Amino acid sequence: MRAPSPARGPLEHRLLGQGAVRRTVAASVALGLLASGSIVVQALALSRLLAGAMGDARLDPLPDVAWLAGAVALRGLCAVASELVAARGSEAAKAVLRARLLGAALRPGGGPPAAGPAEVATLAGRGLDALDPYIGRCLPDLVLAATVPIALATVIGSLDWVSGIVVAVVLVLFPTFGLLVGESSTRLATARWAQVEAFGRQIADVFEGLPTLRALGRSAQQRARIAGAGEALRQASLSTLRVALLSALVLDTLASVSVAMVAVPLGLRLLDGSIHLSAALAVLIIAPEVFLPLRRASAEFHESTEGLAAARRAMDLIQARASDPPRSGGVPSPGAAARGAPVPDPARVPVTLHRVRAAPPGRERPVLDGASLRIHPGETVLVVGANGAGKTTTLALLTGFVVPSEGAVRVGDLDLRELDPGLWRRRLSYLPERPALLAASLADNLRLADPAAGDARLRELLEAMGGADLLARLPDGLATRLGEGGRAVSAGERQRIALARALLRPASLYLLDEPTVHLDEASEARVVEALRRHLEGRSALIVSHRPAVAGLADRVVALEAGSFTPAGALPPAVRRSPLGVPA
Amino acid sequence: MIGEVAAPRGSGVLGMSRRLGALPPRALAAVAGAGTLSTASSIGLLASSAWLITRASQRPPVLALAVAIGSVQAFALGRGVLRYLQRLAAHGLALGTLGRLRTWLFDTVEPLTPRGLPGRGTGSIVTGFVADTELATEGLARAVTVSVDAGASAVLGVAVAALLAPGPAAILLAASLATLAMALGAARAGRGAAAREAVIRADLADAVVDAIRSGPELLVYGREDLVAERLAQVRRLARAAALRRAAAGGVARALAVWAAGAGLIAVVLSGLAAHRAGQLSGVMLAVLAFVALVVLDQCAALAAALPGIATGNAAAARLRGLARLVPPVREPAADRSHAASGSAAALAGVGVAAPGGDREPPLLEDVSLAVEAGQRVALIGPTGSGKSSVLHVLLHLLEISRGSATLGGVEVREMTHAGLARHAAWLADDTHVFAASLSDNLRLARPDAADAECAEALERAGLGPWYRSLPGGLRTLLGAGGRALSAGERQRLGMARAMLSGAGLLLLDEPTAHIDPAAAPRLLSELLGAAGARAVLVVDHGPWLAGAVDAVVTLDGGRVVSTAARARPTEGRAGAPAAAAARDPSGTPRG
Repeated sequence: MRAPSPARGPLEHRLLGQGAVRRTVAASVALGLLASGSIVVQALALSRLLAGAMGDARLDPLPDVAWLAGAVALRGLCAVASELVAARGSEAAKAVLRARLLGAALRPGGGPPAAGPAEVATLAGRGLDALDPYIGRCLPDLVLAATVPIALATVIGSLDWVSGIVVAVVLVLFPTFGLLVGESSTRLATARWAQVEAFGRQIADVFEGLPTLRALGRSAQQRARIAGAGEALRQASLSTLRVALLSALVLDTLASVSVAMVAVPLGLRLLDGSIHLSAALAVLIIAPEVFLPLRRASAEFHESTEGLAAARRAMDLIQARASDPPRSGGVPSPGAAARGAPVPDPARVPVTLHRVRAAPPGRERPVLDGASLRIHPGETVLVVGANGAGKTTTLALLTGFVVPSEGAVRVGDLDLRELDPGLWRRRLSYLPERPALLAASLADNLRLADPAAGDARLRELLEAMGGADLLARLPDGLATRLGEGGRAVSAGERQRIALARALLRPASLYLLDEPTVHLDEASEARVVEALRRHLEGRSALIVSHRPAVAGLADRVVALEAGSFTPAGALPPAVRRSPLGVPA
Repeated sequence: MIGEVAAPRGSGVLGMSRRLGALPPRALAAVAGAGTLSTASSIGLLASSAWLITRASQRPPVLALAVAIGSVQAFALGRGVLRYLQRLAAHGLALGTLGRLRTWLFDTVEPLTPRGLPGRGTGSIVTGFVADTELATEGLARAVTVSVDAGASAVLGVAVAALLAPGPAAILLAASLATLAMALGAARAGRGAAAREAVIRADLADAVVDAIRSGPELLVYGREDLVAERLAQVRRLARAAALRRAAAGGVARALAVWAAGAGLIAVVLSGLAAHRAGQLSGVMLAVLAFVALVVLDQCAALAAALPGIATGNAAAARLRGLARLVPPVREPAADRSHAASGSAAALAGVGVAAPGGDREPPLLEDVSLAVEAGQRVALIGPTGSGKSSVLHVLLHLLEISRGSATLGGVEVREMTHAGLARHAAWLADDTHVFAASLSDNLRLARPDAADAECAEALERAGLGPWYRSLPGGLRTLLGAGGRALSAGERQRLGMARAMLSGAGLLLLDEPTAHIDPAAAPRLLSELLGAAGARAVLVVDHGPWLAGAVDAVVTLDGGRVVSTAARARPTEGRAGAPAAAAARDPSGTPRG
């Protein structure tokens, strides 16, 4: 019950550009032609057997039976081989697309703007799996639809030129009629599909709002709405289908009429003996097969519209990310000279944002404009500001996930763009806004930041972050598996783990985004105290709107209207907070 | 059979639809009728053509062929039309079943919402089930169509053959059955591999989500290799599983082709023997061969249609799993909500067992709290401490296993949800806006509300200026396909709904969870301001809450760990400094 009119044609050039896809299609087409050849052999053998029985009954049937058996065996082998070829090819194509999609999604600067992790995961999994019928069957069938009918018509023509001409004429009519009927029915159908989709939306809407309906005690009334919309949907769909299926009706009728148009003249010409019976029977067996590839191709295409849509979405995402202007999410590519060159240490030299203009990862509109900020060695700077003011973008500038479109990020006297990003990041520790836990043990999750850290150190930091209860609760302590498929942890516990991880890192510049979010007041106080001790004498840039964190800072800067202002002038968002911010 | 997954018999979409009474009998009969007739004309077309040609080779007078010529033409024209009717009937069947499955889904999901569903009945889960009803019915239509085609052609073909010669007919019957068995074997063989693939696919999705979420940290820590490694491993597994499934499917398809081919050869050879014995004319031998050709082709074609049916069966299985879930509450037959007086809410010694039974700690344990008329109580505590469960108990979306939960002195379990809604209104963390007009969205709370009352509720919820700016006024379409609302506007709309319901108790479940932290205090204070003299029980995290309520109840691990009364400034509480209250040690949860 999908819309019958795909927005774009059946050929997706970005997919066809893949070597694996082209090889798969070629192999599948070869197998399809082989299978068609076996049908011809079967037809010739069977017709000779039958004609032989009509004439000289002494004829030995064995050779023809052997041919028949051989043809059947070959067709079966083609079936196995084409399944395997299709699976291998589409797995290869999916692997390439998946890798590119993930590469695009994983590019620094957060997730792609148009898709969240869940959407990418669905696309990479079920979405691309829906490509199987497209690559494995639809594409080869499209090629077969263009070749097999012509080949079979030629065979028929060589057996009997009159039938050959009849079949050829119908073959020409086929796409013409298909186009004519298809076009007008598609136009009618698309107009009605809008209605069908509206009913579908209504139904989905009621299901999504069920909790609300229950709390309001209004479920019963909405059940009637579901039933009503369902009935309306049925009516609308049926009247749409009546039109949409007309093209299938025309093609089906053409195909069966062509058999009649071949059979009747054959019969009449057999009367005067102008054709041999075995040739006539062979033509009759082959004639219905001529149109099968055409109808199968259109059915397969209908089947694979979903997969094609998913693949296009994936490829759009890949392209969107690939064409990201460098200022919004691109990776700086250090010059060859800079690769491996020593990177200045923020513990010794200041890190400066110099009149930068920058947009958040994946966005166009800059949030920072002419913003300047200097973090001196050993200094802890707190950035406050309303949501969307550019706090997170500031951190992304320092990690190198975002490159300024104007101005520069400097480490000492060097532009960050000219430094090896890998070496620069070794100097950093980073707590993102939404820290992630990998599907791995607690210890492995922590050791991401410092593979050499010992268990005692992990415990010490976790406990400093208020994670003692968590350690006690986990059945295998540090070895407990977390993340997807592992032990569930609360948002607060996740934050504590991520904090411990960030502090585990022996870094000289700590970038902490909302370090105490998800923590209650008592835990927050504890964490702030631990942070104070840890950050003593190290450089840090902290983003937070929690008042308690302000006490950590040597200096508070407010981010407002695209640039930093010293702490005296707090932005209104913070002033509005009932608690205010300690000066 | 390769690693077959245990599934109950009749577990397919057909069986399920039949058991639910979701199969519209007339549509089913239409599919069967049109399918049988179109199959009959397929057989008729080739059989009469074969008769025509072989008979013509004997050079009879032209008139002897007239009937055959007529029937060839009739069958040819009829076949296309009948196929069209069969397609329409199949879609009609699917759509009819879809409607019934959807109402069944609604009836099943409704009592499970929100606490009886996995993942707390989040929208995406329910949307997934709605999509499953579509997949199931598509699979159903296909299953019915191919079964009719294969079944009808086997029966009709064998019947025709039996009229010509009994021996070959018996062979044709056996060959049809063997071909069908091989095709079905394909489905079985594929099922195990498909189940394994589904597991691997879930792993892949996990790995991808993990990779994207942890991307920034891994980059800073220089450990991107971790993700790449895991992804490569899952991909290798997926590839192996796909190839195994393809091999199983391919072998089964080949077996079907071979069975059909062997059957054809056997039928022709036995027909030839009958011909030599003088029991079968040469013309009829040709007819027999063509009938066998059509019938066995149809039976083998079943193998190609089975993957689509399998998808439908998998969807049906997921839906069936839903039917096994037990609703967390049962609504009473008689409503006692009219006996409730006032809007005071009280929980006394309430315990709620975990859905998983005794193996898990209870959701709530010995919880007692009271919200007097006009009082505002805040409920705070870490995630998973049972805050939402308390609200769900008061809304009777969760059954208590111990203690008592009352509204206006009446046990909530003695009220229907419609009755309960007159006393308690609920504001979720994200209000669902229905794809309907503004007034329909509001009147969900009270269908007989006048326009003026709707407008007033909007004003009180702080949506006055927004509402006045709407060109369509109350008739403006909202939700999907209509006007989009910001998170703040949605919450205010939810509040307007609550105002309109006339309920004396408001239950606010993290009303600012999806609001910018900078805008949250203002929204919350305005929502509380709109509540006026109503009693309020509010769950929220923010420190801004402290000065705006009369009491703070702290939950942890399903138990009340502290209850603290607060002095609430009579007016202007929205912006009142609450730092002192926030530092009150009794109000802080255990660290």
